[in-house]
Amino acid sequence: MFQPTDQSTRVSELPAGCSFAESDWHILAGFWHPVAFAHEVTDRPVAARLLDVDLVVYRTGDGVTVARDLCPHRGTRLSAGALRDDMLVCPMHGLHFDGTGTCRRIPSMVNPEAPMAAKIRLHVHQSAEHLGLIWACLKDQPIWPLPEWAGLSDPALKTVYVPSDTWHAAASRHVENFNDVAHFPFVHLGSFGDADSAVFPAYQVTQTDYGLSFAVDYTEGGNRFPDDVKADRREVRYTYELTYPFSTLLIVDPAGSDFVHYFADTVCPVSARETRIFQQLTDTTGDPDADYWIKDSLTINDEDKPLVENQRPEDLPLDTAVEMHIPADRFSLAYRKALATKFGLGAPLAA
Amino acid sequence: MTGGLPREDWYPVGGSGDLPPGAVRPAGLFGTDIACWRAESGGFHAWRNRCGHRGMRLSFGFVRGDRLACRYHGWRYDESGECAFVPAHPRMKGPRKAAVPAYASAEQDGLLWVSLGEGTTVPPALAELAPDDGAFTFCRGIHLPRPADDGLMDRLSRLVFPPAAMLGDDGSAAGWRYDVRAADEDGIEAAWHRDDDPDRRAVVRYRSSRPHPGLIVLTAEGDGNARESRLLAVQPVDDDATNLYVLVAAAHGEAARPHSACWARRVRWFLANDMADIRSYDPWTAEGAAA
Repeated sequence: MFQPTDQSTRVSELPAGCSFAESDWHILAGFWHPVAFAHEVTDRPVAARLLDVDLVVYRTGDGVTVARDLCPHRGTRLSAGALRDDMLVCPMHGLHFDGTGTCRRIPSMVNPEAPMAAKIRLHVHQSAEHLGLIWACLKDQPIWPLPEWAGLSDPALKTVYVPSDTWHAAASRHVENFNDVAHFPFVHLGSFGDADSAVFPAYQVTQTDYGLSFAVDYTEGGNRFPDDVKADRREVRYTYELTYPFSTLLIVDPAGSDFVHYFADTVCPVSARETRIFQQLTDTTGDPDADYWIKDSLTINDEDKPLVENQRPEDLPLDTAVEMHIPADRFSLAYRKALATKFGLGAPLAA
Repeated sequence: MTGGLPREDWYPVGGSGDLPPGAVRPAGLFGTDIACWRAESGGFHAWRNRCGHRGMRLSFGFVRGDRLACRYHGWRYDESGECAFVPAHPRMKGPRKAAVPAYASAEQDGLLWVSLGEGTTVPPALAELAPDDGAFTFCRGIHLPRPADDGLMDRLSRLVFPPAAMLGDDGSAAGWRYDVRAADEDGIEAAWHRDDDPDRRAVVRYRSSRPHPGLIVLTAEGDGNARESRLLAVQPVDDDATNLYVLVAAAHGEAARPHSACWARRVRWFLANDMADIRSYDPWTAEGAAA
């Protein structure tokens, strides 16, 4: 019930009940991660959770701020508060915080704007508004750049945002599933998969400045593209561009027309086994049918979700001897190796 | 949490008829996740419920012929557990390392049995447990949201049931109520009666035995020495759940089956909701539980 009278020696950055290995948490905290759709952060604060850390995301005239969801005065959750006079207002005693996280007003004081207020500051983290998302980094210096997505960064093309969902699975398991084509003939027969396209072509994975990339040709069952090509099945080229650690742009180029579909998938590692999915898409028509593509995307996600949530072990094995790898798994193998060797994730437990 | 039940022993994981050819479903035993499946040609298998490729539960998969296929990437395993086919690379030999370990499994007395042990033993022969009653036949399985600990096993050994001989020609247990006359270490004596027909009454003595760690035989002996046994077989699923299989003695024929199934449902309700002393709650004559 009580904390010790001397808290000065407790300086751990790790959140209480951290579900990550300590070294993994510190590494992942150095990356940018999406915490909210930008269009959802408007006239009220939004709660988010990243790497087991509770965050409040709020918008002022200075832009978007991401801070610990904790009022330094009495530990209240600020995400339950409100925005007033371009400031975030704590729901308990009404302390007002500006876009830098500095307290500017304490209503109970005779002089609410007294200088002492400015000594009360939120724990503010690095944040960026980019590609329709609010990104946060829990360390002061991000170790990896934000993703850049062709198509979706083109202001001439309207972006469709897929409603966000949370999976009870590791972010890395989700990423591997998103970058896996060999499961389409089994998992996605209810959407775009084709039972006769099980045989997998040889493909190569390329290291890029930002991550990994590969392209494969596939025959989709059905024809979901609005490019006036009459066909029951479609030959497509999928190009995947991964930005470490958890962001992927998928470019779908159906044969027979100039039409190109851009689909981006990025996820927030809420905890080691909980993942919030942010997806968005556009295409070369410039005006994709939102209802159609949202339904298409949710159908596909619903096919994947129960499977990925049931993969065991829940944590992605970074020892490549733990699971089996066949030629179709080149991406997965390269991804696991990079997470371990390039960034040091999955380090053996300290002796 | 699973009291005195040996991990290596045999336990039922389902009724034979609940797993038709071509079916696959999950089962749990001491927290171990098991994929149970039956080949089209009839063979029953209990495997580790995980595909070695990407960790998918094989119970999500599907049976094609005499092979179990993983739902994720379609890897097919033959009845020996070897990976026989990888759809992405049809000409590649399945990775030997992918072979799925099997648990000891058997089919006997209408039940599917699994052992996490070495498989050097066989499941208990149920017909030998109550010789006078002949063979037991599986009647109904019920799920209990509590562990198979000593408390549950003790509770199961003190259940009463309306014997078929008492019920008469219609075989219905509707309207029958009982009072416990005596309950001690030797068993329970219950006086059954009907409010609508005072002439129909019977005193039944119940004894129980535990011939095997996971098996309880309940025997009812009424006036005129009419005797009936019922067999309870537990499946310790995990720390939170137990499956219970109710078997009736074949000597009492099909007549005992409908009300035995009804009794099993009441036992489930009773054990799921209340662990109070058997005398304080009557699982048979509870309000709203008409046969």
